[in-house]
Amino acid sequence: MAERLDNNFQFLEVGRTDPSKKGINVRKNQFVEIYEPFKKEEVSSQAHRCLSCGNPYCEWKCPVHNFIPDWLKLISEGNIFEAAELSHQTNTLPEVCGRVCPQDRLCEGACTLNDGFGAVTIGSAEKYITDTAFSMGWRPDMSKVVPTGKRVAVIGAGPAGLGCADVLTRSGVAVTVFDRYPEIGGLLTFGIPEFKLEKSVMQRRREVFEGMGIEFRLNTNVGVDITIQSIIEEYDSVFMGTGTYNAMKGGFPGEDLPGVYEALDFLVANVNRNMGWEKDAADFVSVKGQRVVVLGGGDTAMDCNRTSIRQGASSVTCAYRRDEANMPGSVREVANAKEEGVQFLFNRQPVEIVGDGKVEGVKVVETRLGEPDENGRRRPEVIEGSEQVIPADIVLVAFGFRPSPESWFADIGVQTNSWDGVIAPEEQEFKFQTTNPKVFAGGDMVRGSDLVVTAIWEGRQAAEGILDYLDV
Amino acid sequence: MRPSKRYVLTQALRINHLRGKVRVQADGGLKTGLDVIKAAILGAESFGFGTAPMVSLGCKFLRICHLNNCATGVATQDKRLRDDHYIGTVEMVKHFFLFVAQEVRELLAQLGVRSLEELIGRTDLLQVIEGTTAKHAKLDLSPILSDGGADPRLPRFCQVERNEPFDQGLLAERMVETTLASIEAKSGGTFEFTVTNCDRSIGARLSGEIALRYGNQGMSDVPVTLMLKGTAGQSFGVWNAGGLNMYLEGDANDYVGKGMAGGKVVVYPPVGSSFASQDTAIIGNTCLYGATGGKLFAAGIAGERFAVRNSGVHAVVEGAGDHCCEYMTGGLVTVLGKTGYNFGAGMTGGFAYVLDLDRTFSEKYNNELVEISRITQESYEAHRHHLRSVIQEFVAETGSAWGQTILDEFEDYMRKFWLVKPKAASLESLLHNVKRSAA
Repeated sequence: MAERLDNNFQFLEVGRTDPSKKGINVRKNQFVEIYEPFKKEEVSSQAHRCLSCGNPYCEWKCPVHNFIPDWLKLISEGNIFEAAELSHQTNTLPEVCGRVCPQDRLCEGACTLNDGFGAVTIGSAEKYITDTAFSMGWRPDMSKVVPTGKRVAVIGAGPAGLGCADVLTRSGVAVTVFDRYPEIGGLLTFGIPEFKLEKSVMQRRREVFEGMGIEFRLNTNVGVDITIQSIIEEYDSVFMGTGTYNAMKGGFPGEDLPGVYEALDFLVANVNRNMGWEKDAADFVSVKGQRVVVLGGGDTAMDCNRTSIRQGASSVTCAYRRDEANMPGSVREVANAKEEGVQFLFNRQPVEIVGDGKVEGVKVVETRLGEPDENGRRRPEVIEGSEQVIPADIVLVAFGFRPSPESWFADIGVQTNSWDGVIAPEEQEFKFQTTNPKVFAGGDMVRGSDLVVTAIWEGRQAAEGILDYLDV
Repeated sequence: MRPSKRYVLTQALRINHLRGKVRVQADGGLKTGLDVIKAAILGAESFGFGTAPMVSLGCKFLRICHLNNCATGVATQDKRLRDDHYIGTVEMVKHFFLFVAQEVRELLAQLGVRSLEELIGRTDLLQVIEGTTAKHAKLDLSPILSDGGADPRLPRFCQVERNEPFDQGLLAERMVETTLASIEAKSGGTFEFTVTNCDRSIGARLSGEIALRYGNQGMSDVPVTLMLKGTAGQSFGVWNAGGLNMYLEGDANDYVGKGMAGGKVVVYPPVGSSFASQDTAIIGNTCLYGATGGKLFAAGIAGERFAVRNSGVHAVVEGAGDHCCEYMTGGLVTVLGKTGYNFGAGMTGGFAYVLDLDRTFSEKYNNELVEISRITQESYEAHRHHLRSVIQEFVAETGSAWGQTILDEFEDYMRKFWLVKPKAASLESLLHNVKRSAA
C-alpha cells in the first residue's frame, strides 16, 4: 500500500482535476467513452481532497445516499475491495452512476468544496472503485446469504429492475428477470450511447449478476412471449420496472414528415447497429453528411447531438426554448457537446417542421424569459417577428417521455394515474406496492422520466417492500 | 437545567435564598426564540448561543473545527481560508439575534406576559404531553415542573446588578492622576509605585486611557513606563496597550497579561533574593490567556495554562505548568526550563522554544497537532540565532541570572532546546511570521 496521505489542506493545495478526455478527433468519430480512467495516484490524491464533512451534503443529495466520504477515504488509502464493498451497500450499479449521473447537479453540486474550491471528483472516483475492484477479481460476497425459498419475477432489466433484483438476491430470494431486449440494462444499454457508457460495462455486470444467482430471461417480451398471468401464478411476487417509452410530441405541424425521428428510435438503432444486434437494417437512421437539428435540451437531446456528430453529420444544431442556464441536461454533457462541434441555439421555440414531402427545415421563434410567475418560475415568451427557418435534412425530437402502460395492466388490476403512471406509492405499508397486492413497481413507470440513480433507488426500495410483503 | 437527584438548579437556589444573587444561563443547542422562551420558563435569565450564530456567518457545520482547515474560514487560522473563503459580516449575526428577539417578543405576547423576567420560572405554563414511545411514557417530568416547595415570595431571577468587588481600584486611579498629563501630551515617562495583592488589574486603567486616545499601539514609541515593587493582584497587565511598559520587582498573581494587545510586562524577583529564579514561581496561572500582542518576560516559573489562546505575544519564562500553549494560534513562547504535561494541545499557530534539561519533554507535549525538533542541524541556523537574541533580550530586561548562564554556555544549552511548531506550519514560515507580528 502506498504511503497514507495525511494532509488536511489537500483540498486547498491540490485542485480538482477531472480525468483527461480523449483527443477530439477520436471523440468525433468513435463510439468509445471519452474519459480516460483515473490512475491510481490521481484517484488517491483527488479523493483525499474530501473534507469528510460531519454532515455530508453529497451523501444527502445522492438519491441512493451513497457513503461517499467513507469510500473516498478508503480509496485514498488504496483499500479498493473495502471501498467496492461499501459502495455496493447503497448502490446496485456504482460504476454506471459514476459514468452517467449528472454529478454536477447531485453529489458534486452539493459538495462543500464546490463553493470556491472545486468539488471532489466523486463520480470519477466511484467509477474507478468498482471498475478496478472488478478487474482485480472482486465480486459481491454472497457467502452469508441464506436462501428463503421465495421466488420473485422482475419485469424489465433496466436500473429499477436490476436494483430490485440485487437487493432481493442478497436477501436470499430467487430472482428471474425478464426483458424484451437481447442484453440487460434497458436504456443503459440501448439508450445511453457508448461515449458515455461502453456496452462492455453492462455485459460485465450481467456476468456479475449471474454469478450472484440472478436468472435473466432475455428476448422475452411479457404479454407477447409469455403471459403476465403465468408469471403471477408461478412467482411469489412480481416487480415491474419497464420505464417510460412513449415519446412526447411537440404538437406542431410537420412532426410526421419523413426525416423526423424520435430520439430513442434513433439512439436504440444506433446501438443495435454498433453492437450487431440489429434485427432489420431499415431501423437504422443514418445522418452521415446530413444537416441535423435536435429539438430539446435534456440529456437525451445531448445524446442525439453527439451521436449525430460521430455518425458524420455535416452539421448538428440543437434548438432549445429556454436559455442555457435553464437547460435540464447536465452542464458537463452540454460542454462536451460544444467541444465536439454541436451548435446551440437558445431561446428558440419550434413552431413547425417545414418541407415538401420531406424535412427541409425547422421554423422557430425566438423567446425570452418572462417575469417570474406566482411560483417564481420564469416562463418563455415569444418575441414578435422573430421567426426563422433552420435548414435541416434530419430532425431528432427529444422532448422527453411519458409512461407506456402495458395493455395487460387492467387484466391484473394494476391501476394508473391521470398521466398513465402506475400507482405504487413509496409511503405505504409495503413500499411501491401496486393496486394488485402481489405486484410492485418502481422507476420511471411510477414517477415519470427521471435519472438512472432514482430508478435504482426505487427498485431497491421496492425490494424492501417485497421482502416485507413476503415476510422474509 | 438537568434534574439532579431531587432539585433542579433554580429550585435549589431559591430554597437556599440564593436565586436573587445569581444569574442563571442556559446553553446548549439554543437556536430559536422558542428555545429562549422554554429556557426562561425553566428558570434561566441568560441564554448562550454558539452554533446558530456561527452558521449565520457562513459555518456549514462541517465538524472539522479541530483540524484548522475549516473551508468556510470560520474556525481556522489559515490565512488563505480566512481571507478568501470567509463570508461573514457583523450584520449577519445582528440579523440572526434580531430575529430571535422578535420571535421571543411574539411568543411573550401570545403567552400574555409583558417581559421576559415575568416568564422566568413560570413552569405552570408548561404542559406535559404523552409522548410517542414507551420510554417517553416512563419519564417523570414533575421534578422539573415543580417549584421544589420554595416560598413563592422568593425571587425568581437575579435581583442585583453586579457583585461589587473588594478592590475599589484606588491605586489604579492614583496611577491615572500621576500619569495622565504624560499620556495626554503623548510624552511618556517613568513612574514608580508600590503594589499589593489587593490591587487588581493594575495597568488596565492606563491602557484604557492610552487606547482611548491613540488606539492599541498608538503610544508604542513614547511609552509610559511603570517601575513597580511588591506583589501584584490578579490580572496584572490585563489588556495591556502598546505604550505601557510595566516592570514589577516582586511577583504577580493569576492572569498576568490576559488579553494584552501590546507593550511590555516584565516581572523579576526582588534584588538580592537568594533563591534560584528558575526553581521559583513568579507569576500565577492562566497568564496571557487570549493575548494578541506585546511582550512578557518573567524571571521565574509561570503557573498552569500559560499562553493558552495566545495569538501574538512574545513571552519568555523560566518554567511553566501543565497545558502551556494550549490552543495557541500565534506568537512565540520560550520556556527556559521545565514544563508540565499537555504542552501545545490544539496549538495551530506560532511556535515555542523549550529547554529540556532532564529529557522529559518528549513525553509531556501533546503530539496531536504539534511536532518537536532539535535546532542543532544546519537548517536551523536562523533559529539558533533567533533563540539567542530572544534570551539576550530577556536577560537585558529582567537581569535573570539563569538566562545569563544559558547565554554563557549557549553552545551546550542550545542542544537541549526543542523547537515546537504546528505540524501544518512550515519551518520557513515561522521566523517570517515572528518578524511580521513583532513589527
